[in-house]
Amino acid sequence: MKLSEKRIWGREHRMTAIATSPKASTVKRMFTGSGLLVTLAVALTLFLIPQILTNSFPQLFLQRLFDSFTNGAAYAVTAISLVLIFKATTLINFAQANIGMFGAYFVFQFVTHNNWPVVAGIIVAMVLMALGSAGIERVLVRPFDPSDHLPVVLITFGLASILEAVAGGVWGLEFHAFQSPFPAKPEDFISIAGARLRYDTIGTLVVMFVMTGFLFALLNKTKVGLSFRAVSSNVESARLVGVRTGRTLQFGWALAGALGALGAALVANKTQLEPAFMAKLVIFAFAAAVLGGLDSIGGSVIAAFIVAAIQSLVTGFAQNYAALGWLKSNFALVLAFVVILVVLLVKPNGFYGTKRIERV
Amino acid sequence: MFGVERGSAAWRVLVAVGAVVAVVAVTAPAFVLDPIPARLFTRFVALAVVLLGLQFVVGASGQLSLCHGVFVAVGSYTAAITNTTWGWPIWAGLLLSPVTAFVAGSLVGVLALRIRATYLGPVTLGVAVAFPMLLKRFSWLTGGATGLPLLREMDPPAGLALHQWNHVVSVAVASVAFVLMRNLQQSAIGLSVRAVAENAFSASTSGVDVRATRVRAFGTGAAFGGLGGALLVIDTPIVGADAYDLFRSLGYYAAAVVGGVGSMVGAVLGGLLLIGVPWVLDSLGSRVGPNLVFGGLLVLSVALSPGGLAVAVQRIVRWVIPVRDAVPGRPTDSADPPT
Repeated sequence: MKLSEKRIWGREHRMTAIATSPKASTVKRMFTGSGLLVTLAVALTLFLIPQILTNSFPQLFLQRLFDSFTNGAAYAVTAISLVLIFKATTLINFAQANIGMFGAYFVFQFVTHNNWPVVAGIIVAMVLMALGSAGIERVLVRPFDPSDHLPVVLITFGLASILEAVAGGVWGLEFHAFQSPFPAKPEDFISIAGARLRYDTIGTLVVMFVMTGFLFALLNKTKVGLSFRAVSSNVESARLVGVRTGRTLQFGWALAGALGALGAALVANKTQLEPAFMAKLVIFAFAAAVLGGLDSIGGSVIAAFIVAAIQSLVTGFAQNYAALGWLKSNFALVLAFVVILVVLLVKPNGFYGTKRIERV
Repeated sequence: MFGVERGSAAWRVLVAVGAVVAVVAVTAPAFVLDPIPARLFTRFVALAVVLLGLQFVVGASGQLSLCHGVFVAVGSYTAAITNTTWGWPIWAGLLLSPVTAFVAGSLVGVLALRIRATYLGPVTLGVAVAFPMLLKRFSWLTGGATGLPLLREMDPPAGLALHQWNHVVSVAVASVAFVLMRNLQQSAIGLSVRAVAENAFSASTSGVDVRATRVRAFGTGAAFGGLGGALLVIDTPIVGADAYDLFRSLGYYAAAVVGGVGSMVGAVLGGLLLIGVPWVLDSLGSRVGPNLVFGGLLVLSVALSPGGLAVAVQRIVRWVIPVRDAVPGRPTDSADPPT
């Protein structure tokens, strides 16, 4: 039996198996390993080239790109909130979307019923969701064995469904309009090559970049950030040098809760508010987080804008291809799913993630 | 010592009596109750078969599957398409549905091979999200969003109403499925599935083909899901693309966990919950959706009883009838005498 045919599991073994195998054919390389990603990128370019050659090129193309920025920012913030918890505990928090959704409803409540300014509503909601997430960590996550993921994953599922049901019970299942924190009148835009870059898009981008910068400073310049990085690198060693791991993880959850609320509030004005609105969006944030490697904050920000841009360009231009008409708006979901699947199959650590060695 | 020893003659009799009592208890409602409440029991039987497959994937083979609803849909559509479009009798669709679902499950299982643990969550979630779109894409086959009715209903024998005959058939099919699953779990295949879940590396050193076992386990779970799906269609003779959304799959998962994964009793209890919780909430006139209850039950069951309700029920049964495990090392009729 050739070594390449041996069914030995484990990365190192597979590496040797690949190294000793005869060189794969070009066709095979197109669909395996990183070649698959190149193939997809080429397909995407081929798809876009006919659109670039049309006479509406710079305007329509830029417009679709600008339109994707709000989504990109919201995906980025939500992806960061997923990454923060994943970094610390390698746990995918399935309740994250609905924690954000709940935060957005708080903003809605403050603004519509208490007549607060939107910005004040968002800040208070972020604080409330941070406290709530910290509480969730203390009551529902910390008591369980951190090395066994399944129970905690199940708890986040349960939590997601509870939050959605409670939001539906309190605020109803109907769609609510959500006020943008930025000037959002129809004439509030600047024109670049005929494409409209709206003020609220710019504002959303600024908020996102300020938040990311703040987060970087928090994680890299402060003591609590240092202990957070220590815990995410190795829980046991961090505990041995005196880091209070429980509290540090709680801090990660609180940050994620606040960011989740912010991400939801940034996008709610475009999608409108209903109990499942974030659950529908979170698959894109998942795609961004996975593409960025699930434990890289900068990586997931870049990936979020890539995902949003592809989503906007491809669904926008797909109507020009008769064969793709059936996909319509659902195309974006399928695309996000393909991104998640291909990245996990081909590059399980994404493009910026830390390599983990996992046996079997 | 007081109690029944596992595997002894008395134990076998007790198990057989228990099984007969259970089958009678499940069959009776169709002949006692009005058609509408009775049909809830038919759905319960079908859902128990669905969860029987899910508890095998999640419990025995330890793989996170959030797209079980997809396999159920494959089973339902197999029954509906063979029946309505091709004019086959229902029993033929019932036989074919596990096969098509097995194929679908194996495909997802192959995807799952290189994606481990928590990562399977988003991937299977994606399958569940993408599947209804496929159904709408191939609407010439599936009927799209409007759905596909089941045209040729079963021909009940004289003296039985249609819903009663449906129920009897469902119970019979479900009984066969439960016996099959029990035998499967105790067979060499079942053992190797559990061995791979416990520790894939040591299983492979014992000669278990890890990849084939994982794919087979996913396919087998899906096959039971498909059979359950076909049973669901017999009761509600229409399938539509929108009935198989993501929340359906998540609901199955929650019910399987609360019932108890890795346990056939858990599948029955989970099916009972899927029918019972919405029914109780409805009859109380409660504004609370079943999702809240399922979410709460999920959190409670993880916190209080990690094995789900099945463990609690088994504890009560053991308290009434103590069961002792067979003493290891004692010579039985087939084993070699201890040296």
